[in-house]
Amino acid sequence: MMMPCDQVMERLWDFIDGELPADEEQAVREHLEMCGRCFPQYDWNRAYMRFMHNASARMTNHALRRRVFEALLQESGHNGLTP
Amino acid sequence: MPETQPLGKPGFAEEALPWMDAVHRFALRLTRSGEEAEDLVQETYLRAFRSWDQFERGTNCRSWLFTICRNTHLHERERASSRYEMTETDVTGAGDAARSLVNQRALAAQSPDDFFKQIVDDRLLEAIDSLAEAYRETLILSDLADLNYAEISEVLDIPVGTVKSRLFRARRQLRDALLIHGMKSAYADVRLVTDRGS
Repeated sequence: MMMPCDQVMERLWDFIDGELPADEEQAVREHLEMCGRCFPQYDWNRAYMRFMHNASARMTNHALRRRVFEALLQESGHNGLTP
Repeated sequence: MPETQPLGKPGFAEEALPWMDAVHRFALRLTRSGEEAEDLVQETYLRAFRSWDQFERGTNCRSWLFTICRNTHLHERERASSRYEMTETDVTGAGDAARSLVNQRALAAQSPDDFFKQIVDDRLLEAIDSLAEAYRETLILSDLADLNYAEISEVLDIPVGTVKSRLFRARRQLRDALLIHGMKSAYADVRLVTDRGS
Protein backbone atom coordinates (compact mmCIF):
# COMPACT_ATOMS: atom_id res chain seq x y z
CA MET A 1 0.00 0.00 0.00
CA MET A 2 1.28 3.46 -0.89
CA MET A 3 2.21 5.80 1.95
CA PRO A 4 -0.50 8.51 2.33
CA CYS A 5 0.19 12.12 1.33
CA ASP A 6 0.16 13.51 4.88
CA GLN A 7 2.82 11.05 5.99
CA VAL A 8 4.94 11.87 2.96
CA MET A 9 4.68 15.60 3.68
CA GLU A 10 5.73 14.97 7.29
CA ARG A 11 8.85 13.20 6.03
CA LEU A 12 9.62 15.37 3.03
CA TRP A 13 12.55 17.37 4.45
CA ASP A 14 13.98 14.29 6.16
CA PHE A 15 13.82 12.59 2.76
CA ILE A 16 15.56 15.48 0.98
CA ASP A 17 18.16 15.72 3.75
CA GLY A 18 18.90 12.00 3.45
CA GLU A 19 17.88 11.36 7.05
CA LEU A 20 15.20 8.70 6.60
CA PRO A 21 15.64 4.98 7.28
CA ALA A 22 15.97 3.00 4.03
CA ASP A 23 12.44 1.54 4.08
CA GLU A 24 10.78 4.93 4.64
CA GLU A 25 12.98 6.54 2.04
CA GLN A 26 11.86 3.97 -0.49
CA ALA A 27 8.19 4.49 0.42
CA VAL A 28 8.47 8.27 0.06
CA ARG A 29 10.31 7.94 -3.25
CA GLU A 30 7.66 5.63 -4.65
CA HIS A 31 4.92 7.99 -3.51
CA LEU A 32 6.57 11.04 -5.08
CA GLU A 33 6.96 9.25 -8.39
CA MET A 34 3.22 8.68 -8.49
CA CYS A 35 1.65 11.68 -6.72
CA GLY A 36 0.78 14.87 -8.60
CA ARG A 37 -0.03 16.72 -5.39
CA CYS A 38 3.14 16.01 -3.40
CA PHE A 39 5.65 16.16 -6.22
CA PRO A 40 5.44 19.96 -6.81
CA GLN A 41 6.24 20.59 -3.15
CA TYR A 42 9.17 18.19 -3.38
CA ASP A 43 10.30 19.90 -6.58
CA TRP A 44 10.31 23.30 -4.84
CA ASN A 45 12.20 22.04 -1.85
CA ARG A 46 14.81 20.37 -4.04
CA ALA A 47 15.22 23.59 -6.07
CA TYR A 48 15.73 25.46 -2.81
CA MET A 49 18.46 23.04 -1.74
CA ARG A 50 20.21 23.29 -5.12
CA PHE A 51 20.05 27.06 -4.83
CA MET A 52 21.54 27.01 -1.31
CA HIS A 53 24.34 24.66 -2.30
CA ASN A 54 25.25 26.83 -5.27
CA ALA A 55 25.20 29.95 -3.10
CA SER A 56 27.35 28.15 -0.56
CA ALA A 57 29.91 27.22 -3.22
CA ARG A 58 30.21 30.87 -4.29
CA MET A 59 31.09 32.07 -0.80
CA THR A 60 34.77 31.23 -0.56
CA ASN A 61 37.43 33.57 0.68
CA HIS A 62 41.03 32.93 -0.32
CA ALA A 63 42.40 35.97 1.50
CA LEU A 64 40.93 34.68 4.74
CA ARG A 65 42.60 31.29 4.26
CA ARG A 66 45.94 32.99 3.99
CA ARG A 67 45.29 35.23 6.98
CA VAL A 68 44.32 32.31 9.22
CA PHE A 69 47.24 30.23 8.06
CA GLU A 70 49.59 33.14 8.86
CA ALA A 71 48.12 33.36 12.37
CA LEU A 72 48.57 29.62 12.87
CA LEU A 73 52.16 29.81 11.71
CA GLN A 74 52.85 32.60 14.17
CA GLU A 75 51.14 30.62 16.92
CA SER A 76 53.40 27.67 16.21
CA GLY A 77 56.49 29.88 16.34
CA HIS A 78 57.28 30.07 12.63
CA ASN A 79 57.86 33.05 10.40
CA GLY A 80 55.02 34.17 8.14
CA LEU A 81 54.35 33.10 4.59
CA THR A 82 56.37 34.50 1.71
CA PRO A 83 54.28 37.22 0.03
CA MET B 1 48.39 26.77 -1.66
CA PRO B 2 50.34 27.31 1.55
CA GLU B 3 52.64 24.59 2.80
CA THR B 4 50.95 22.68 5.60
CA GLN B 5 53.89 21.00 7.38
CA PRO B 6 55.24 23.92 9.45
CA LEU B 7 52.23 23.95 11.78
CA GLY B 8 53.81 21.21 13.85
CA LYS B 9 50.59 19.59 15.07
CA PRO B 10 50.08 16.30 13.28
CA GLY B 11 46.75 16.04 11.50
CA PHE B 12 45.60 19.61 12.15
CA ALA B 13 46.19 20.93 8.65
CA GLU B 14 44.66 17.88 6.98
CA GLU B 15 41.60 17.63 9.21
CA ALA B 16 40.80 21.18 10.29
CA LEU B 17 41.81 23.49 7.45
CA PRO B 18 39.50 22.01 4.77
CA TRP B 19 36.49 23.22 6.78
CA MET B 20 37.51 26.87 6.80
CA ASP B 21 35.06 28.01 4.12
CA ALA B 22 32.21 26.28 5.90
CA VAL B 23 33.21 27.80 9.24
CA HIS B 24 33.46 31.19 7.54
CA ARG B 25 29.95 30.92 6.09
CA PHE B 26 28.66 30.06 9.54
CA ALA B 27 30.60 32.91 11.15
CA LEU B 28 29.40 35.36 8.53
CA ARG B 29 25.79 34.68 9.27
CA LEU B 30 26.31 34.53 13.05
CA THR B 31 27.99 37.91 13.21
CA ARG B 32 26.32 39.52 10.14
CA SER B 33 29.55 41.40 9.59
CA GLY B 34 32.36 40.54 7.17
CA GLU B 35 35.07 41.91 9.40
CA GLU B 36 33.80 40.29 12.60
CA ALA B 37 33.31 37.01 10.78
CA GLU B 38 36.93 36.94 9.66
CA ASP B 39 38.08 37.69 13.19
CA LEU B 40 35.82 34.93 14.46
CA VAL B 41 37.20 32.39 11.98
CA GLN B 42 40.75 33.27 12.93
CA GLU B 43 39.96 33.00 16.64
CA THR B 44 38.16 29.69 16.06
CA TYR B 45 41.17 28.22 14.31
CA LEU B 46 43.61 29.53 16.88
CA ARG B 47 41.55 28.00 19.68
CA ALA B 48 41.22 24.75 17.79
CA PHE B 49 44.96 24.74 17.17
CA ARG B 50 45.73 25.29 20.84
CA SER B 51 43.30 22.53 21.87
CA TRP B 52 44.21 20.12 19.12
CA ASP B 53 45.69 17.66 21.63
CA GLN B 54 42.23 17.38 23.21
CA PHE B 55 40.53 16.58 19.92
CA GLU B 56 39.77 12.90 19.66
CA ARG B 57 41.12 11.80 16.31
CA GLY B 58 38.63 9.95 14.19
CA THR B 59 35.65 11.90 15.59
CA ASN B 60 33.91 14.67 13.69
CA CYS B 61 36.35 17.55 13.22
CA ARG B 62 33.82 19.69 11.38
CA SER B 63 31.30 19.57 14.25
CA TRP B 64 34.09 20.27 16.70
CA LEU B 65 35.11 23.41 14.76
CA PHE B 66 31.54 24.66 14.51
CA THR B 67 31.10 24.17 18.24
CA ILE B 68 34.24 26.20 18.95
CA CYS B 69 33.10 28.88 16.50
CA ARG B 70 29.67 29.17 18.07
CA ASN B 71 30.99 29.15 21.65
CA THR B 72 33.56 31.79 20.77
CA HIS B 73 30.87 33.95 19.20
CA LEU B 74 28.56 33.58 22.21
CA HIS B 75 31.40 34.30 24.58
CA GLU B 76 32.43 37.42 22.68
CA ARG B 77 28.88 38.64 22.53
CA GLU B 78 28.28 38.04 26.22
CA ARG B 79 31.37 39.98 26.95
CA ALA B 80 30.20 42.84 24.75
CA SER B 81 26.74 42.94 26.26
CA SER B 82 25.50 41.54 29.53
CA ARG B 83 21.97 41.84 28.27
CA TYR B 84 22.31 38.84 25.94
CA GLU B 85 19.32 36.60 25.83
CA MET B 86 18.48 33.88 23.37
CA THR B 87 14.76 33.36 22.90
CA GLU B 88 12.87 30.81 20.91
CA THR B 89 10.63 33.26 19.08
CA ASP B 90 7.38 31.77 17.85
CA VAL B 91 7.06 32.98 14.31
CA THR B 92 3.73 31.49 13.42
CA GLY B 93 1.74 34.65 14.02
CA ALA B 94 -1.46 35.77 12.38
CA GLY B 95 0.41 37.58 9.61
CA ASP B 96 2.14 34.38 8.59
CA ALA B 97 -1.09 32.61 7.72
CA ALA B 98 -2.13 35.31 5.25
CA ARG B 99 1.36 35.56 3.84
CA SER B 100 1.55 31.82 3.45
CA LEU B 101 -1.62 31.79 1.38
CA VAL B 102 -0.24 34.44 -0.95
CA ASN B 103 2.99 32.50 -1.20
CA GLN B 104 1.23 29.26 -2.04
CA ARG B 105 -0.33 31.06 -5.00
CA ALA B 106 3.02 32.46 -6.04
CA LEU B 107 4.53 28.98 -5.78
CA ALA B 108 2.07 27.68 -8.29
CA ALA B 109 2.79 30.44 -10.80
CA GLN B 110 6.35 29.62 -11.88
CA SER B 111 8.88 26.81 -12.00
CA PRO B 112 11.03 26.38 -8.87
CA ASP B 113 14.36 26.75 -10.64
CA ASP B 114 13.19 29.88 -12.50
CA PHE B 115 12.13 31.38 -9.21
CA PHE B 116 15.43 30.73 -7.46
CA LYS B 117 17.48 31.93 -10.44
CA GLN B 118 16.22 35.48 -9.88
CA ILE B 119 17.40 35.60 -6.27
CA VAL B 120 20.73 37.32 -5.91
CA ASP B 121 23.14 36.38 -3.13
CA ASP B 122 22.69 39.67 -1.28
CA ARG B 123 18.97 39.11 -1.05
CA LEU B 124 19.49 35.55 0.19
CA LEU B 125 21.88 36.73 2.89
CA GLU B 126 19.47 39.48 3.90
CA ALA B 127 16.69 36.93 4.19
CA ILE B 128 18.88 34.61 6.26
CA ASP B 129 19.88 37.50 8.51
CA SER B 130 16.23 38.31 9.11
CA LEU B 131 15.63 34.94 10.78
CA ALA B 132 15.59 34.62 14.56
CA GLU B 133 19.00 33.50 15.77
CA ALA B 134 17.98 29.99 16.81
CA TYR B 135 16.58 29.37 13.34
CA ARG B 136 19.36 31.15 11.52
CA GLU B 137 22.18 29.11 12.98
CA THR B 138 20.31 25.84 12.43
CA LEU B 139 19.59 26.69 8.82
CA ILE B 140 23.17 27.74 8.12
CA LEU B 141 24.62 24.62 9.68
CA SER B 142 22.30 22.49 7.55
CA ASP B 143 21.83 24.24 4.24
CA LEU B 144 25.05 26.19 3.83
CA ALA B 145 27.49 24.11 5.87
CA ASP B 146 25.90 20.75 5.05
CA LEU B 147 25.90 19.23 8.54
CA ASN B 148 23.45 16.40 9.18
CA TYR B 149 20.84 16.47 11.96
CA ALA B 150 23.02 14.59 14.45
CA GLU B 151 25.97 16.93 13.85
CA ILE B 152 23.80 20.03 14.26
CA SER B 153 22.38 18.56 17.45
CA GLU B 154 25.94 18.16 18.75
CA VAL B 155 27.05 21.67 17.78
CA LEU B 156 23.98 23.44 19.17
CA ASP B 157 23.54 21.04 22.08
CA ILE B 158 19.85 20.51 21.36
CA PRO B 159 17.85 17.33 20.62
CA VAL B 160 17.56 16.12 17.02
CA GLY B 161 13.79 16.73 17.18
CA THR B 162 14.43 20.40 17.94
CA VAL B 163 16.90 20.58 15.05
CA LYS B 164 14.21 19.28 12.72
CA SER B 165 11.50 21.64 13.93
CA ARG B 166 13.79 24.68 13.82
CA LEU B 167 14.96 23.73 10.36
CA PHE B 168 11.43 23.28 9.12
CA ARG B 169 10.38 26.70 10.38
CA ALA B 170 13.56 28.39 9.23
CA ARG B 171 13.21 27.06 5.70
CA ARG B 172 9.59 28.10 5.55
CA GLN B 173 10.39 31.60 6.75
CA LEU B 174 13.27 31.91 4.34
CA ARG B 175 11.17 30.74 1.45
CA ASP B 176 8.44 33.20 2.41
CA ALA B 177 10.94 36.06 2.63
CA LEU B 178 12.37 35.18 -0.79
CA LEU B 179 8.92 34.87 -2.30
CA ILE B 180 7.90 38.26 -1.00
CA HIS B 181 11.07 39.68 -2.49
CA GLY B 182 10.28 37.94 -5.79
CA MET B 183 6.78 39.38 -5.85
CA LYS B 184 8.08 42.87 -5.06
CA SER B 185 10.60 42.59 -7.91
CA ALA B 186 7.91 41.47 -10.32
CA TYR B 187 5.73 44.40 -9.23
CA ALA B 188 8.63 46.82 -9.72
CA ASP B 189 9.22 45.43 -13.23
CA VAL B 190 5.57 45.93 -14.13
CA ARG B 191 5.70 49.49 -12.80
CA LEU B 192 8.81 50.20 -14.81
CA VAL B 193 7.24 48.96 -18.05
CA THR B 194 4.02 50.86 -17.32
CA ASP B 195 5.85 54.08 -16.54
CA ARG B 196 7.91 53.81 -19.72
CA GLY B 197 4.76 53.16 -21.73
CA SER B 198 2.84 56.14 -20.39
